[in-house]
Amino acid sequence: MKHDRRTGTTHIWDAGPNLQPDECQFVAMDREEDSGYLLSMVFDRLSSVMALVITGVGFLIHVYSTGYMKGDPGYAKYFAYLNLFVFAMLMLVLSSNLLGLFVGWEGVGLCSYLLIGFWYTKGWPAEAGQKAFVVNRIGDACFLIGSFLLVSLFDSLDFATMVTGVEGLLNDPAATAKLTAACLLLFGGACGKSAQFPLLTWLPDAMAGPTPVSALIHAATMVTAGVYLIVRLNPLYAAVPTVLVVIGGVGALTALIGASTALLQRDIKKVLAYSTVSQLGYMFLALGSGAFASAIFHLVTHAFFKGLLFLGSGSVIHGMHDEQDMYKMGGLKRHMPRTYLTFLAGAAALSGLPLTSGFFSKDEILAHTLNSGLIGVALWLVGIVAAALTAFYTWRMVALTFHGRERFDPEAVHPHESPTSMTTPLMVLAVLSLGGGLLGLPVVFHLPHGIASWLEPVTAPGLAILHHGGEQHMSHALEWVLLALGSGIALYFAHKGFHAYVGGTEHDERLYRARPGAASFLRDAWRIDSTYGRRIVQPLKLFSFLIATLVDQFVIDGAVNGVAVVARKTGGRLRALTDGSVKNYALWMGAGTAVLLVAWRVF
Amino acid sequence: MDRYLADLGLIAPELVLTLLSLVVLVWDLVTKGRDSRQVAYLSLAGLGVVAYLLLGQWGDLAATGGKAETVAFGMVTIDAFGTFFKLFTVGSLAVVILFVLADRRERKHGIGEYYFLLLGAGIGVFFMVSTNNLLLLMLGLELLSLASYSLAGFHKSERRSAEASMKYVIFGGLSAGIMLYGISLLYGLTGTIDLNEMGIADGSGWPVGLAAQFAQDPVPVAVAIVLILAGFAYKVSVVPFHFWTPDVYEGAPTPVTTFLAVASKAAGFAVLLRFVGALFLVEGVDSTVAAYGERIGLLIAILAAVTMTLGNLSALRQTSMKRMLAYSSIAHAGYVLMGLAAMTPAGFSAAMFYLAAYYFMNLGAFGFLLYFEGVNKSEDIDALKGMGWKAPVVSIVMVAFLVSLTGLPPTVGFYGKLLLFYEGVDAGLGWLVLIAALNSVVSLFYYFRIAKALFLSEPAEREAEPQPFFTGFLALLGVGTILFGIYTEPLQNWSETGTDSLGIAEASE
Repeated sequence: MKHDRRTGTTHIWDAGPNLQPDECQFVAMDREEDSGYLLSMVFDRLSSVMALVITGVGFLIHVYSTGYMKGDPGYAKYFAYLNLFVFAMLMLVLSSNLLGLFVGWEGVGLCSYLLIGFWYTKGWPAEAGQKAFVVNRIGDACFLIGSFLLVSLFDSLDFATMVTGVEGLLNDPAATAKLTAACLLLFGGACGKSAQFPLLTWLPDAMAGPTPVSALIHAATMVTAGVYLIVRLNPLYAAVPTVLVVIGGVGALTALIGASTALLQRDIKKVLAYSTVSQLGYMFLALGSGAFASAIFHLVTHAFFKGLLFLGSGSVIHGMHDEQDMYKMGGLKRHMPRTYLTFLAGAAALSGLPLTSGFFSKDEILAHTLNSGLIGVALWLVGIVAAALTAFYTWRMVALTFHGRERFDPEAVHPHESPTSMTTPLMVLAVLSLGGGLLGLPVVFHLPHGIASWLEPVTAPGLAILHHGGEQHMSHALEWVLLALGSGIALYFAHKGFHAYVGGTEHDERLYRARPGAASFLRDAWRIDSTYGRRIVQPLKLFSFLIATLVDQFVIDGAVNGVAVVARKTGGRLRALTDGSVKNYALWMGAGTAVLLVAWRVF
Repeated sequence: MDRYLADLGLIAPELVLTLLSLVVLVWDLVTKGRDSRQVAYLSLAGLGVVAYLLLGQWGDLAATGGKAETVAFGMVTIDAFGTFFKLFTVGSLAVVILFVLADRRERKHGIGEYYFLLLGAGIGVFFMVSTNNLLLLMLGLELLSLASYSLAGFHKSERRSAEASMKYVIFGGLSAGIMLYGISLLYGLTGTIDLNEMGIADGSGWPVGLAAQFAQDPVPVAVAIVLILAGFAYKVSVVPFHFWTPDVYEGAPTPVTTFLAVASKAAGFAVLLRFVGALFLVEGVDSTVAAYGERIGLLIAILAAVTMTLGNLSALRQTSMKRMLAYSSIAHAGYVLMGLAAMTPAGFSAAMFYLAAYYFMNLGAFGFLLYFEGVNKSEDIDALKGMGWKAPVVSIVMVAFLVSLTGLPPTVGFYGKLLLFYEGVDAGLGWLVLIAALNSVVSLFYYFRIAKALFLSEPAEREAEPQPFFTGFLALLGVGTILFGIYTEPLQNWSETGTDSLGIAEASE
């Protein structure tokens, strides 16, 4: 069947004119004559990767959830939200224009809000949900303004139109300035959704939701929407390299903040949350150096191993009767061997131990960063430091949770392995975390890079603009050195982290004694949250309170009530005017006519 | 003579309606009022025929662009404008007859002649909306008025009804006097009673026309026109000519009030639009006259502001729903005047659209009132408390009418108001639009007092006797109120065709 653009009534899959041979487009509600579809979807190579992650990891997490949420009074509601989320996320990645993407974008934001606050009766989850929503408002406002700018540039929000149209703007300074602003603003939106500095404070709090939600929404899929957005618009970003530098800088900074904060967390989910912030920072670091495919590669592997780690931590929390404090765990490997083994796989991948998925994807990002100029070298250094920290905190977490002395009360807590419905997804994800690297092997292996070549049609326009045709390849020797360096750092710091904490929590206590200021600074995530609270939230609350009491209650309500009182009184008077007396009525009529006559003369 | 007879075909609806009224009268006499229901059914059937004829005529007129044809030596003008109002008049007559049928209290009164009087009033409306001749206009108006006087006092034994009728007669007489005086002045000055000739005549021969008179001495012409406008203002109850309205509306039987508030008032607006349009806006009008038209527009704008404000403010404190609706109808007259004050064809169309909307929502609101008068034996808004749960369909439909009366989407009242506001702003009457918007806010208060009484109180103890037929009928009006608020195109097309047939042109700057 053919899609007829004129009638715009076709509702079928079709290979449209602007599409790659292996893409298909679904169009419903076509607006007539132009290509600005109201609702249209494209299933191309990029969205296929995203859709596979969403549905694949999503499926496993659904299976896991059947075990995790068993017996919860909101069981049905939970799955309704979760599926609404999957719908919105698919909408986000399948839409063929920015407007449809925004609908999905807001949809996942809503579901995130609902699921963070799922146990709203406890109080603080509701607040955490609110915080996530409000912080995302800032990003979404940027997103919207950015979209408006794009409309003014391209007269369309259709991805294909914008991607082909950007080349025509390259030599126009005014348009480039506008494009720079638009790209920055859209990146601001991405910062909100993907918890990048300075909008990262909501993600750690979002852990108030059920753990599978943290795995699906706040690790594997939704928070990567910002990465997807930029890859989707890669030619636009390639046209404004300054913005790419900003993105790389923000990514590196966020990676460092996240990794260093995760060092001293006690709550197992908080460690993973800050780790997620940090890993997302890596993805943006990749985007900053123009390595769009690498960002997606890391996105995929991260979805595997971080999903796995979250689910594993969920299994631990489940087995420990809702205990999340690692100081009160220890020695759990005996009690939950399957969780332990799969968790090890996830930890290996996160810390970048050689040949795991995380090793390949992270090293690829760092290699690309190093290869992207002078600023790249600086960012690479930050990335390497963050990688070292990552290995350290990951194995600290493993040691504190599964090894060493049992620090819980054996009378009160009886750790137990989770049901099969929960451990099976863990095993599947463990295999993917370990073997996921096969999707993108380094060039030096002389094997095809699966993701990069698969995404080639999507990233080619951006790379063409960025490198003007000639991409400088790094020497194989350097690449081998980097791989070796990466392996060495990961192994060394993983070893350090594990051994520092296998005996217990003393290492933390020593740190707090030796460097109390620095330690609490790191523990409180560089005090970003409290600074916001003091400098922005409190003044804003005060201001709102003033507005609410002074302006709203006195001025506005006063005016409204005043009008009501006046109207009521006048109404009463007027009512008295109609007193039923014929004489008076006739008098009024006569007077009215006279007034009309006079008025005629006056005007 | 042949041509004369052929022309009679054009006034077939009028003729059928006249015949129908006579048959109804005779039938009632013959059956000695034993079963007035038969009379009602006969009237409904006859109205169906009239409607059929009118629709056919509408089709012919719309096909030719709504151009006017004159009958009976130029006395009767058949155009789309008149037919528009005739169609709505027939519709509201039918609705009023259904109301009479549904009103159980009416059974007590011998009501055969009720229908005759209603049809007679209808004939009056038919002629007054389809003439450019001031004499015939006056005749139609008086026919309508005479029938209305009798109808208002139909409950002879009720003091309230008798008083209403009496007041109506007095003020009707007064205003007719004022108006006739104006007409005679105008005739004396211009030498014609044909509005078209008055407007266009260039003053070189006979008739003299307005332009020459304005050039010579504007005062007498102005006096004449203002006096005539005062007569119209009485008919459509514009402040300060509105005082009779609440008393008469309250005292008259509710179906009659419905007729007065809807059909009679809309007819008044029809002649007002035609009068102002023919004198000041008609194509080829002299520039001096057009300049005076601007003044008239401003005058009307002020009247509109005063009318809607007073109407709304007075409605605020009413405890009787019937009286509240009376004031509400005054306020709505103010809104319609906005379209007239714009003095543009588009403004006239907007006024016509709003009048069409007005038919729907007011017929519905009065139907609701009628139903609850039967249930509560009272017109008090307080008596409605909690009845929403007892008569849910009628009450929910009423909420739709209230939303429309307030002018909120997605109802026909909203779209009508939107058009009026739009045209008002377009004609430079921003201040008037602002006043109208504020008035709409005020009106929300008293309209929604009804909704609040219905649904936000504890369910009442009393039961509401169901009237499935009547309920379904009201629901139909409610569906129309919402449907035409969403699918506005037909009503818009009709009002535009109607305005086009007036032959008025965009005022040249």
